[in-house]
Parts: sequence; C-alpha cells; structure tokens
Amino acid sequence: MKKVVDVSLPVGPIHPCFKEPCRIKCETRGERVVTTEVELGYVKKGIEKIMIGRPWQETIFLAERVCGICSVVHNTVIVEALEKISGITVPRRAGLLRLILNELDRIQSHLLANYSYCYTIEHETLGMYLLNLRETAMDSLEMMTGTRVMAAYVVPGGVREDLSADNAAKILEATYHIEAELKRFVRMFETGPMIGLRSKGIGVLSMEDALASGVVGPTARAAGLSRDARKEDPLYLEMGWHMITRTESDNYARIMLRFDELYQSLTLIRNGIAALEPGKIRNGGEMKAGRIKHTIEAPRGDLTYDIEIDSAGQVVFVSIQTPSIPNIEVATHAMMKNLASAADVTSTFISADPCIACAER
Amino acid sequence: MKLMYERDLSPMKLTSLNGVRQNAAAIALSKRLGISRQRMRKILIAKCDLITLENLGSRYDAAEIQAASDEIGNALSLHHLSTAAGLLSKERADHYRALAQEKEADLSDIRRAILEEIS
Repeated sequence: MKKVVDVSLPVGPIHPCFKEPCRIKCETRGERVVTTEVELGYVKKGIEKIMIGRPWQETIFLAERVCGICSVVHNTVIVEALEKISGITVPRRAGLLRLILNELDRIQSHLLANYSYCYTIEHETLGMYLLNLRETAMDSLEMMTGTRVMAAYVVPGGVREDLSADNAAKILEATYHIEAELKRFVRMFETGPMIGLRSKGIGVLSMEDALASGVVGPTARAAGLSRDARKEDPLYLEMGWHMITRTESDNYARIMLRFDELYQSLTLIRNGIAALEPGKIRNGGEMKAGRIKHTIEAPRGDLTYDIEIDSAGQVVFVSIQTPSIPNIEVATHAMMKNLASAADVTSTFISADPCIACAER
Repeated sequence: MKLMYERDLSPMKLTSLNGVRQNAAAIALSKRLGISRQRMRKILIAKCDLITLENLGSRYDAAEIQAASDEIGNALSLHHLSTAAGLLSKERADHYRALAQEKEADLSDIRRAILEEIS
C-alpha cells in the first residue's frame, strides 16, 4: 500500500478481537481512517487441492475441516452436491433432520458473531451472555450428532443417526430457553446508549458497493438485498421461512438482522420437529460420475461447491466459494473506508462476520 | 530488522489468482483486453490488493450483470475494469465513455488507451 497519509496503522495479524489471524492495514489522517487493506495468507489450508484425486468418501470429512464454526453446512453442501450428481434421493425425515441441524448451526454461528461484535465494542457483559447462550445451541448439536463440531452427520442419501423423541423434546425445550433469554439480550442491544453510539451510522455499506462486490448473507440482507439461497428450497418454504432484510446497512443493522434471523431459526426448528414423522433416515444409491455446482445458505451467506467426480468415484475437480470472501472484501473496501475513528475498524470488520478459516480454505 | 508491514505479497497474490474462479475471471479479462493471461496476471498483481484478487470471481460476475445493459461499457470493458478489478477509477471510466460517445470515435484507439493506462 502506498503511504500517502499521516500514519499507517497495522491491526493484527494477532489481535484480541480476531478469532483467526489476518492483518488490516489502515491509512489514517488524524483519527480518521482513510483506506484499509486486508492481508490474508497466514493459515492457508489448500483443501481444494488436497481433495483432488481422493475418493468422494474422504472429501466429505475434508470439507468439514474448511471451517470449525460452520462445519455442518460444509458437510451438508458437499453431500447434497454428490447426491445431485448421482440422483440419490433423501427421505423426508432425513431432510427435516438436516434442516433442524443446519438451523441449530446457524443459531450458534450468529450468536458467536454477535458475541464477537459486542466484545469488539467493549460490551463484554452482553458478549458473555450471548456466548453462554450459544452453549445451549451447542449442547443441542451435540445431542443430535454426538459431537460439537465436525460430526459428519449428513451422509449421501440421508443422515447418520436418527433423532429420538426424547432428544427432540429436549431440543424443543432448548429453543424456548434460547428465545426467552434472547429477548432480554436483544433488548439490551437495542436500548444500550453506548452500543448505539458505537454501532448506528458506522460502517455503512451503500447499495452500489453491495451490488458491485457480490456481498452475500446477513451483510447483504442488512443492506436491503434479498439474497438467501433458502428461498429456492421447498422444504424451507414449507416450514415457514421468509426473507428478512433491513435497510440501515450499518453495523447496528447487521447485528440486529442476525438477532432477527435467530428467532426465525428457532421457529424453523420447532416446525421441523413438529413435522417429523416416523420413517427411514437413509436411502440407498450408487455414486456416479458427473459435475455439479451446488449452493446452500450458510450462516454467513451463499456457500458454493463446484465439484466433479469421475467414474471411479474420485474427485477430479473442486472449487469452494465461501461467503466470507466477498464479505471480507466489501468490509475492507467499502464499510471501513473513511471511518471517523480507528476504534471502529475492528468492530466494523467483525460486524461482517468474517471467517478467515473459510476464506483461507 | 526486516519489517513485515510492507512485505512483498506477490507470491500470495499469485496463489489467489490460481484459484478456480479467480483464474477464470483473469482469463476472461485478458480475452476482453486482447492480451495474454500472463500479462493480465502481472497487471492484476501489480495494481490490485490481495482481497480484491480473492473476490475477483464475484466482482467479475457483478460487472457482467452491469455490462449487459450498457453497450459502450461492455464494448470497452469499463465495468470489468472498474467494478471488477478496480484498475480504472469511476472518473476515468466516465471519461472513456464520453470519448466513445463522440462522433466517429474509434473504439480500438480508446481500448488501446485504456490498456496503456492500466498497464
């Protein structure tokens, strides 16, 4: 970056506000941040290259290793892509279990994102409340899959384990607990005067920048764009999903939109459990050669796997497009541009829920 | 002591451009400008930051949508160079558009001037 202003301020790569290493280079004029640049490459994994030449069975586990926070959705999207290539169908009960699992994953991911934001604006009390509440969602995930992360629960043709009526009742109970606690925490966020000062009107993303960057997920929806891959999913529509958007497009809007989506996820889980009927959880099938591009809505936005399998069942090509890439890019070049204070750099960056692990796939 | 702050990011940028979507976007840009992929890569590495290159695929798709309804912009690749790669500022893109709208304007001359500017 060419130095044209007062001070070049580096933030990171190791910073208390970041869950993973990345460096933000800020060019400042006085307290004002004129431009920023993000430097990645500290934890590049090269999973796409590792997948090539391996049998599809191994790639299911590798896909989960892209991200520790949203491993469920990486597992789901690669399995659904493989199913589409081979024309394998999924029983209704398994489809509903996948929906319940993915919404639990969205809940824990959104709570973690909002915790991180509260932490960066120095509201650690609310942050810790949210992190504590996330544990309820993590417990439900563990109850369903047997582990907190990287469960490999979604398998071609269905899911690995059934959900007992007892555990379904416990998950239902957990959703009511989360909702009751969430109401209190959302009220704290909405009415906190210091939170408002640090969040409202900061990190505004214009519609023009949003459209030009290909931003996705809650960051796009908080800017008024109706982008959500779930609108194409008939099971989600049947369970009562609807698009949630906001128009303020600032840090506050992004956090509040995630809170709004949490309520919707709780409703979807409840509707999913109510719709569960006894039946099988896995269909048979045979893997076939072919190529497909498949997208589903991850907690951070559109997650796309473009994958090709040969007749021996080996992966010959794979491209993973994670939502964090456009979201980090737009945060860098649009949201953090011309910020009034250097203190807003980390909070604005975190409000876009950047996942470095996903970006460094 | 060697400071890390201004380290050379060219190898990392090249790694980013080797990604599937990024590579496809770089090839498409090079075809539009009528130059080799290698020269396009050199320009992108020299002029763009790391995260722009990572997001080149999405930005290229967004530019394609914009260009679909803009004949001159599409012919001169103005959206692709400004929106997608950030190689051309909005003001310069408007300047070239105005030149193209002049009577008897030769688009190939304007294309050459654009290429000279971004190189």
